[in-house]
Amino acid sequence: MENLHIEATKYTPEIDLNAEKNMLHFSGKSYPENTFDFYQPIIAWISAYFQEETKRETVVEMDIIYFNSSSSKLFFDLFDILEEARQNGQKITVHWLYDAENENALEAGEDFKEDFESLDFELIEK
Amino acid sequence: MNMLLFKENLEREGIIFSFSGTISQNILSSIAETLEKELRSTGVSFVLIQNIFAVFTEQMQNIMSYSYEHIHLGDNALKSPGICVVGYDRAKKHFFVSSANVMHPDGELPLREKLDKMIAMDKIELREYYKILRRSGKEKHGRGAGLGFLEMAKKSSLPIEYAISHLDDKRSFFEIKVYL
Repeated sequence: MENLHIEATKYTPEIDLNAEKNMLHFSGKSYPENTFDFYQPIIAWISAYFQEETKRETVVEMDIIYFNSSSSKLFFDLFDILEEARQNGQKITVHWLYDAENENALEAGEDFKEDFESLDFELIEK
Repeated sequence: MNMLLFKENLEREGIIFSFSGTISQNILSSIAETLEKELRSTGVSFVLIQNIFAVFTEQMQNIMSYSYEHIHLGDNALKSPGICVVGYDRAKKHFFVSSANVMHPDGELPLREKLDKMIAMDKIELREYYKILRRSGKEKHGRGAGLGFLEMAKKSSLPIEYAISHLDDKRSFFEIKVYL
């Protein structure tokens, strides 16, 4: 499976989906106007990745400084895919990174963690 | 136009920044990033700046998506005329983000119901309601999750203020003010 790398823009994060390292990485800000269109290829890649038979240990690293409400829904849908993959026997750890001064990022991470109890969801202060 | 009167109005209202014109994603992000840098240089706290940035973004994207006067730019990108201001209310001792746009009168009642419902909620209720709506995806559409006003309400320090003025059969004027 080919890796997918997308450079950051002013309002979309850097995205690095690496099928060799089993690392899905997002960093930066996320506030596009057409969030679901923007993330469509990313969601498609991740769905395909977890549909492969290979059993592996995947780390999903979310280092998002700021995201708008539509990105919040998009991340929810992403974690939903991860939860389903986990139920199908995939081993997944989510690292939710936040700055000590960024209370919003911490609160958002706590809310996702609560929503996805069966996911191994770690809140990590940078 | 009397610019002196305009300037006096801005000063009286405590307005730091004002914009009236076409709002698109590029304009929104340029303004938001500039505001962020400006506020940082004046020593405003990280969280407060982030909340101003967030509310500003949600308001601008609401105008782009929901204004009755929006124009399609292709690829699900829109631009719309709107007005937005950021200021500091010296009496209330809070920053505020306020904006206005033209909407269709058919949207008036559902919008009032939606806003009144969240204005009546406390912070804990808002956080829970946000999670419920996000999970259900009930208000999700092609350009958003229908969570923008809730995001603003979660971040606001005082109850959200809004007004809808009926202009004619096809146009109502919507304005909103959020204190941070």
